[in-house]
Amino acid sequence: MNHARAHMHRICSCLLLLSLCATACSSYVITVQPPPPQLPPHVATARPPMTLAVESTYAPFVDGELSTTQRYPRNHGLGREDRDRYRRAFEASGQFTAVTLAPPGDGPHCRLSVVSGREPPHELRRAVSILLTLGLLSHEQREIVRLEAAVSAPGRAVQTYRLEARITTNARSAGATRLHRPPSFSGPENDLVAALVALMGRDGWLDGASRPGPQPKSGLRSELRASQRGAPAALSLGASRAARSSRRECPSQPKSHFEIAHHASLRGPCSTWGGR
Amino acid sequence: MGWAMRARATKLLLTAVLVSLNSGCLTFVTVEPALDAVPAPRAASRPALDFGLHATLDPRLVAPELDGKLARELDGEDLAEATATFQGLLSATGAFASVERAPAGRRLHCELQVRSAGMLHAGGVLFALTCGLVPDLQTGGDELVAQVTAPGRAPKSYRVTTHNSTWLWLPLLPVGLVQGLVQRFPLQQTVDALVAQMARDGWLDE
Repeated sequence: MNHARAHMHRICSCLLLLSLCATACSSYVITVQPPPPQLPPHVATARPPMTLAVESTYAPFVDGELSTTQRYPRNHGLGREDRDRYRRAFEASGQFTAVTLAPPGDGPHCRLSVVSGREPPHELRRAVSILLTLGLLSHEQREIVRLEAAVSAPGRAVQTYRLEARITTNARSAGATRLHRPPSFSGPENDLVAALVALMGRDGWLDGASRPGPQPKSGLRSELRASQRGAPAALSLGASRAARSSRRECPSQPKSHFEIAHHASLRGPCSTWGGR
Repeated sequence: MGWAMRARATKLLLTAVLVSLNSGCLTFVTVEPALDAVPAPRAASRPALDFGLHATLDPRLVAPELDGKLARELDGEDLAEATATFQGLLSATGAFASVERAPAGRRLHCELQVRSAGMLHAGGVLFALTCGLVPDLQTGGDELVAQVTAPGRAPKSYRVTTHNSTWLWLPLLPVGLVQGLVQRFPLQQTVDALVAQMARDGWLDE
């Protein structure tokens, strides 16, 4: 009888341990638009160092979309966390010898603008989950991350990439259900940055030496060339995206050269973010 | 049989007392300047309010000897959460027809600079050893500096500070929920005091 009781004790302890372990686990599903290409094979010795600037903003999650009216810049502690998270994500891609948060230098530079928002947790369900099931009852939380990356290098025109990720997190631990993701949980950023790096690789930004191109003669011409060279890539992204989902396309083509330059340098040829 | 029933009832009663002790708290709040009663405006004449918020968690409010580097300004989703909280607190005063986060210039506007702090005194080993059954004292403070503006009127600044101490018996509730319960009441009193001052100076007369 005593033996059976000890056995039951052991089973209960194992179950408790398992449930505690499961509480700390969160899984996620991520969909990146546009779907990234295959990363071209790259010689390890030819990897360039990269400098990075990150500007991050929170937009509340309203009816399954990011709010277009409310913006909260992450310019203090959360901004520092995000900058570090994205720097580590670029490093984790394994395509750069070094990634530093710094102004543009000799190598490629990426100015990353992030707008993201997470669905608020259902407080009652969260409390019930923690109190009654030790957090085993998982919470599904949706999140949208929009990246705009302006990639530049000396002697090469700026190219802008836009990516949107929709992430569904199956959060179990109490911390992961808050509005912002814990600093240690950076899987989605790694996936998103891997997609961005694949796009950069396709366009030759990962070649150690910067791609030779015609040198601009004036500031305006430089901007114009940027728009012309950037246009096919951005347009092709826009086209592939249009084939997959209904998104807002360019309402009209710009008229003057200056308009083209301004349009391309700031927003790209197509406004692919419905809300912006 | 009767004895067994009585023993079971006693056990149930003890459990109920234990649970209620574990989910209770007692808060004392001091507001400076002393709280005026918020006048009850006529529903038809209540003005709409726009507000902006800058919030800082600053432990120096309850422990002035601490380093200023420990102060943390809220941004991103933290600021969004704080903004939603203050929107709720301002609405709960019942003095405004609507409350929105918006820049100044459109109508009655209140730019809020908030410093908050909360600190558990006992905590630590004693709290852990007794599974939180020993009551714990939390002291907190809020400082609200508000710049109130309206079209055609000179801006005016107000300052309200609140000090609070809370006896907590809350070992079973999640920490976030505890903080929500403990902080909500003093913050509401702080905001009530601010709105009372605004009402005294005629900002609520449309």
